[in-house]
Amino acid sequence: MNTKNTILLIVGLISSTLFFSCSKDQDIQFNDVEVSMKAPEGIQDYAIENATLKFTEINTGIVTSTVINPTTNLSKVASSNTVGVNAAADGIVKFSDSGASVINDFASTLPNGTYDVTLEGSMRYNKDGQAITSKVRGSKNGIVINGPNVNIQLDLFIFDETAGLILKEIFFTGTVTPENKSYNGDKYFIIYNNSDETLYADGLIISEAAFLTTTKREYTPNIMNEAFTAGSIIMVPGTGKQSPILPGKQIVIANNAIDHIEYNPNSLDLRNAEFEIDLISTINVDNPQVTNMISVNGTMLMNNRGFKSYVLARLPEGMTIDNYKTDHLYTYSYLNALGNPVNSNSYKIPNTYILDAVNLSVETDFEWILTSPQLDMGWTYCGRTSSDATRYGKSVLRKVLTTNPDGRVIYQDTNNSSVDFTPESKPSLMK
Amino acid sequence: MRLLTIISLLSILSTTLHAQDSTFVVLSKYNTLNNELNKYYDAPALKSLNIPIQYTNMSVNYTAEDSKRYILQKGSATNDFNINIESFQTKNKNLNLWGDFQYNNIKTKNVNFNETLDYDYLYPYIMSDTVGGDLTNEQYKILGGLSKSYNKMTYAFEASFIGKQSTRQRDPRTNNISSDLNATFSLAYKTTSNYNLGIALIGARYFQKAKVSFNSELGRPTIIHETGLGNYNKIFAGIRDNAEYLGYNYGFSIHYVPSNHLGWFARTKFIGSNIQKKIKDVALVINEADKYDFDVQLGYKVAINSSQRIEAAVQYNYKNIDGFEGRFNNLDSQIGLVKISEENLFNAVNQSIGGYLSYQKNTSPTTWAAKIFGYHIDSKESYLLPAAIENIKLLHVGGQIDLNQKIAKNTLIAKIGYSLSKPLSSQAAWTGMNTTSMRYQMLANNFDYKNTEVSLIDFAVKIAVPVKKLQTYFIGGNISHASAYNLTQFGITSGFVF
Repeated sequence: MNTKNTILLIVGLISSTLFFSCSKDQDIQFNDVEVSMKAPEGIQDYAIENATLKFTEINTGIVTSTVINPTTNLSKVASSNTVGVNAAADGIVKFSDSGASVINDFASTLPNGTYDVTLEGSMRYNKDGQAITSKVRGSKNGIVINGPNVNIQLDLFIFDETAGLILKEIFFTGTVTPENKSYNGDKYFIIYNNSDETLYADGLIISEAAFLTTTKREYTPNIMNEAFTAGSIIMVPGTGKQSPILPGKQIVIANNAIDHIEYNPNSLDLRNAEFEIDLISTINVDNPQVTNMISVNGTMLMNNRGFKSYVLARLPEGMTIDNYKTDHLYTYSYLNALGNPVNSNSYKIPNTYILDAVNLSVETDFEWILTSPQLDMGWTYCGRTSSDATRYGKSVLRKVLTTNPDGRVIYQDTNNSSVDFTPESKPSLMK
Repeated sequence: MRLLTIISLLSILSTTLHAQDSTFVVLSKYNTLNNELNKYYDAPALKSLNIPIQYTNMSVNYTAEDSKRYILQKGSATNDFNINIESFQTKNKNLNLWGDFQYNNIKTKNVNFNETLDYDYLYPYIMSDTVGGDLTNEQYKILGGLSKSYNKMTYAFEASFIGKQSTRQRDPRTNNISSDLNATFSLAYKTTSNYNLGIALIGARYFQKAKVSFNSELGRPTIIHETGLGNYNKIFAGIRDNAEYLGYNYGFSIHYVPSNHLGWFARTKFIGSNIQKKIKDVALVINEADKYDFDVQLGYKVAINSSQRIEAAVQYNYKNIDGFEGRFNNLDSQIGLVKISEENLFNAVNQSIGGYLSYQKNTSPTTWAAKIFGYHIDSKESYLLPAAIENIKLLHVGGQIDLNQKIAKNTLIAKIGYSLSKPLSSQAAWTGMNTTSMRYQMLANNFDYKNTEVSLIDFAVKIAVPVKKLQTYFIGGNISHASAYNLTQFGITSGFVF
C-alpha cells in the first residue's frame, strides 16, 4: 500500500466515527398552566389584594411565585382585560368574568413536575352589607403538570388569625433517662386562649389522627376536605362553664400529672397540669388531685416519632358523645401493599367542629398532611429523620405574634404549622 | 528518606547479583521504546504484534497516596495493596493465549458525598450523605484471551470479569458490590507485508448493588440521590438507602498499525454506555445516563538510523454525558411513586486535543527515550433548572525521560517526569444553592480543586536481577508530588518475570 492510500485509509477511518461526537441538547418541557380561583361561598363583591401564588415542584424543591396585586375589584373586570403583575415567573394574570364564583384566572408556563400550589393574601368582600377584609388562602397538593394545557382550580378560604382557643404546644416526644432509655408518660398538650375574652375548656376535644403523615394512601371515600379522620379522642369534662380560660391563659393536659423528675431527672414536673389523660395501664399513673380527661375513643398515646396530626375541636352544643359516635362513623377502604382492598372504621370530626389543627411529620418521611389545608396547610416536627434520637425532650411550640400593652401574648395562628410553630423547641414546662 | 533507602537497597542488590538477557530485559527495553504505542495495538487481534516475547509476570505492589486537597467524593488518601499475575504465551506459530489476575485491597480515607462504588462511571447519579468516612475496598479482576491466525487474518476473543466490594464498619455502613463483565471480539487483516487493519467489537454489562445502613440509635443522616452539580431529587431524599445500577457498554475500535512499529499508526475507538439507576421502593428507573467516549489518534514513527527513532502523534478525545432524570408524583404510598416525565437535565462534555513528540535511542548498554507532550482540555458541565454550570479550560503540558540501563548483568529502569496543568479560563455558578450549606462547600471545594494550577513531579526506579528458576527478580519504587494539592504518592513493587 502506498503512502497516499495509507493516508486515505487513515482519514477514512477517523472520519467514519466522527459522527459520534454529536451530543443531544438539554431540554425542558414547559406547559401552559391556568389557575382558576374559586371564592368562598356566601360572600359578595370580593377582591383579592396582595396575594402570592406559589408553585412548589416537589422533586426539585423549586418555588415559582407570582405576586398578584390588582387595584380593582377582580370580579368586575371584563375578560378582555389583562394586567401585568410583579411576577417572579414569566406570566400574566388574566382576570375574567368567567362565572359567578370564579374570580380570576392566572396563566403561566411551568416545567413538567408535581406541584403544590398555594395562594396567600387578603380578600375584601361584603357580608350582610358589611365590608370586611380577611386573610385568604388556597392550597392544592400533588398537581401533575405534564401536558400542554393544565387547569388548576384553587378553592379559596378565609381564615381568622386571631382565633380563640389554639394548641400552643405539643410535647409528644417524651424524654430519655440518664441510662438512655425512653421515658413515657411525661408528654402534654397546652391549650391557649388567644382571644381577648374568656373562653371555656368544657367539652373541648383533642384528637390524634388515625392516619400517618408518612404514609399517603388513597382512602375511599376521601373526606379530607370536609372532616378529619380521628384515631384516639379525648374530651375535657365539664358542663359548659366549669373550666374557664382567661384571655392569654392556658391549660395543660398531661399524660400523667405527676412529678416525673423523681423517676427521670431529664423529665419535668407536671403536677400543676389542669387535666391528665387515661393512658394504657402499663404507663398510667393517676394523680387523684388532677381531673382526668374523658376518653371518647381509643387511648391517646401520642406518637413519639411525630408521624401524626392533632386537632382541637368542640362538638356542637347539645351533641353528646354517644350521638357524635353514632352520627360520625367513617367507614373507608384502601389498597394494601399487596394491592388488596382493606376496609376499616374510624370516627370523623367535621372541619366545622375544629378550632385548630397541627400536622406533624419528619422531613425524610413526610408524604402528606392529614387535614384540610383550610385547617392547617403545613407541618412541624421534632427530629429530622425517622426515629431521630435527638427528638427526645423537644416539643413544637407556637411562635409569639405580638404582645399587647396589657402583657397578653398573642400567638401566631395562620393555619400553617410550618410557619406558626418553632420546631424542636425546649418544652416550655421543662426547667 | 524512603526513596534513599530504596535506592541504597537497589544499589546493594545490583552489585551482588547479575542478570542475564532475560525475558524481563527484552520486555523492559521494548516498553521503553514503544510505550506510547500500546493504545494502537489494544485490540485483542493485534496484541501479539505488541508483545515481543512470551512472559509471565508475578508482582506484589503497594501504593500510598495522601492529599490535603482532594475531590471529596474520592477521598483524601488511599493505601492500595495489589497482587498481579499476568502472562502471555505463544503455544504455536498461530495461537496466542494470555491472562491476567489481579487482587486489590484498597483503604480509602475521608470519602464524603459518595456512598457508591465506581464514582467516575456512575457520575452524576450517585447515592450520598454528608457523613461518609473511610472505606475498605476489595477488587478482583480475571481476564483471559486468545488469538489465532489463518493466513492474513487473525481472530481473537478476550473476556474479563471485575468484581468489587466496598464496606465501612461504622455508620453510615456501606456495603456495595459491583460486577463488570466485558467481552471483546476482534479481527485483524494484514493489508500489506507491514500494515495491519484491526477491528474490535466491545460489549460489557455492569451491575452494582449499593446499600447504606445505620446501627446507631442516635439518628442518621439523610440519604441523597444526586443528580449533578449539587442537585438532587427532594422526594427521594431521606431513608431510601438502597440503589441498583445496571449499565451496558458497547463500542468498537478500528486500528491501522505497522507490524514493525515504524510508519503510520491510527486508531479510533468509540464506547457508548447506558446506565440506569433504581432505588428502594421505586419500581421505575429514576435516572439514566447515556455516555459516549470517542477517541482518535494518528501517529508516525520514523527510524533516523539503526539506533534512533522519532515518534509524533496527535490525539483527540471527546467524552459526553447526557443525564436523564425522572420526575415523580406521590399519588399513594401503596401504589408508589409514579413517573410523570423524564428530561435531559444534566450534560457534561470533555474534549481533549493535543499530541506528543518522542525521541528514542537504543544502544547497548543504554536505551532511553524522551518525550514532551501538550494537551488542551475543555471541560463543561451544566444542569438545567436550577441552572448550574462548571466550565474549565486547561493546558496540560509536560515531559518525561525513560532510561533502561544495563549495569553488569542487571538492569536499571528509571523514569522522571514533570507535568503542568494550568487553568486557562473557568466559570462556575450554582443557582439557588445556600452558600452556608455543606453541599455548597462541597461544590466550591471540588471546583477549586479542578481549577488549580498543578505541577506534578514523578520519579520511579526499578532494578532487575537474575535469579535461579524464576529468571528475573525485580524491585522498584516510585514517588510523585504535587505541591498545589500537597499530594504525595509513594509506591513499591516487587516480583518475578520469566
